[in-house]
Amino acid sequence: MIALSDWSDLVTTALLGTNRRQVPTGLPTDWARTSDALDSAIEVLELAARHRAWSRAGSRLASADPPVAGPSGGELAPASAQELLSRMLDRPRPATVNAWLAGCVGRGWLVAPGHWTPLAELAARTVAYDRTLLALALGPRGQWFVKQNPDWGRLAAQLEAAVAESDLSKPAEPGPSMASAAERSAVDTQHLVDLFGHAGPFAAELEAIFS
Amino acid sequence: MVERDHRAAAGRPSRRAPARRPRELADPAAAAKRAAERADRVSAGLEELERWLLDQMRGGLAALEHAGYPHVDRVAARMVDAQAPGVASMLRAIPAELAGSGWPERVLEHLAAIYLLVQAHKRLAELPPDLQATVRSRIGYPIVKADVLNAPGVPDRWLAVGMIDTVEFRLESRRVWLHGLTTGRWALWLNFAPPGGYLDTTVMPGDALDAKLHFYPGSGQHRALIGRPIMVEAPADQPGAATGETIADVQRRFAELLAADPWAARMPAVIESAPIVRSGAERWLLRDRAGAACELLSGDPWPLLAHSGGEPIPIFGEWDGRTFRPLSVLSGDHRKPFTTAGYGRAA
Repeated sequence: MIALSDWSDLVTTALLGTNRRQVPTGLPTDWARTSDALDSAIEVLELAARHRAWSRAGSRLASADPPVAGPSGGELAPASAQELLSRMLDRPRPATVNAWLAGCVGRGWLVAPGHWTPLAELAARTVAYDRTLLALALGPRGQWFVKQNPDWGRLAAQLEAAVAESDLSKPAEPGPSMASAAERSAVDTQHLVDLFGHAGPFAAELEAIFS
Repeated sequence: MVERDHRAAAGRPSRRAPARRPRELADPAAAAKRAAERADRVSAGLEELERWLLDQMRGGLAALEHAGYPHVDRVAARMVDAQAPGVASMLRAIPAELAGSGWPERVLEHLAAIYLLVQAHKRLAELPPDLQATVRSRIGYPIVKADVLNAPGVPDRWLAVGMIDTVEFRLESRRVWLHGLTTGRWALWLNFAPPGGYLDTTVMPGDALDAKLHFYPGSGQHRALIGRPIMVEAPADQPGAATGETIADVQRRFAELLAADPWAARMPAVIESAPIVRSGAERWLLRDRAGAACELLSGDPWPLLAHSGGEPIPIFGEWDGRTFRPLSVLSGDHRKPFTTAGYGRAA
């Protein structure tokens, strides 16, 4: 492969033009036709074509330390619930999304990773999305995810504070223990019914899925 | 098992096509004359292009930067007139490269690739038949769909694993990547929509079909037409989920592809890897299980990180020799591959 410095030199010649700058000397002889009569413009293009092939076929790979994985979560909400959330997020309203989150948390489920990004983007824009419910529905890994994006820094801090204030900082277990955690965050049956009632056209589906 | 029969899909010859047998020409002599005239027009156009390319080298790419789009578009239009639309497309991709750091390197490589194509066309008769077909295809010689469909097909259960839509000069195109579960072969189903038209949704990511795929002629060719697809239930296990490649594996395969088709722009791959967050304008990295990393080409990488959670997952995408564009996650959790418009939308 052509050395990086030689390649940079060749690019400089191409940038300035062979009328003003010579093709670098000392390049590998097998890289281009060698002929006294060779047009230097042709030589630049042939060298560049070879460099292109070499660099695309076998550029040196970088290495990286493994990323820090987020703590694993619990059971995801079923497909029907996720599909309902997808439809809600097409035209999101805090009341409907909060009702979905409450239902999800009430059943001890977690929101699927595919929804983390739109939920975080929405919640970062307005506090109308319930921080406690969101933190619980995201679970430990979803909260870790939110922390990774500096643009969501304030939201991440709010989620952390909401969890701490609700005394829910211990990792939640799926099932009954999670449901009891939800109870502590006031997601009781009556509260759910009230929330579902504010979910407009989604109320019946929320009721069917989460009750 | 059979759910849908999409006989109208993907390149079936029109019902209004003349009732001739494949490859049967109404007037072979006239057809040969037309082909020779076209070849002459292409050759004349490419001769002009060669002079233009050499002029750019003599005058310098800095002048090209100042001349901008109209300068390149004029020669591209000339290539359309010369019936070399593939070359015109390659030229029209140049102005987009005339920005950002490192543009002179990218533009020089691009011009060099076009120059190589011009040289290959000059020596077309000396090339092996497969490479001849590749050169003709890159230049934009027409290929009759009926001829492709009448060539032997590759039967398999094909799974659509990823898709990307692009827009170039108001022409929308869709690339749907298919993977043969038995043959392990990759195929590209390409379809186009003119302005105001719609892209074909016959085959979408997550779909599985039993079909013969008819590959276009040429070495290293992925593009194929689908013959009489029968949609079936998608299998639970996605291709590559268990045997995702490393970046070095993908690099080796791409080197083989370039040996067959030096103008290949991309190649499908499943890399078992995790995205690595980078700050600011830096491109994110993708780290494979061997610890190697490459740049991630994605408009919005956050959904990918959400799926990964920081752990390696089988990510399907396109490798261009330097960067990897993720198109879907072949997760075991869901039968259909995860894919988003955010991944799939790119020029």
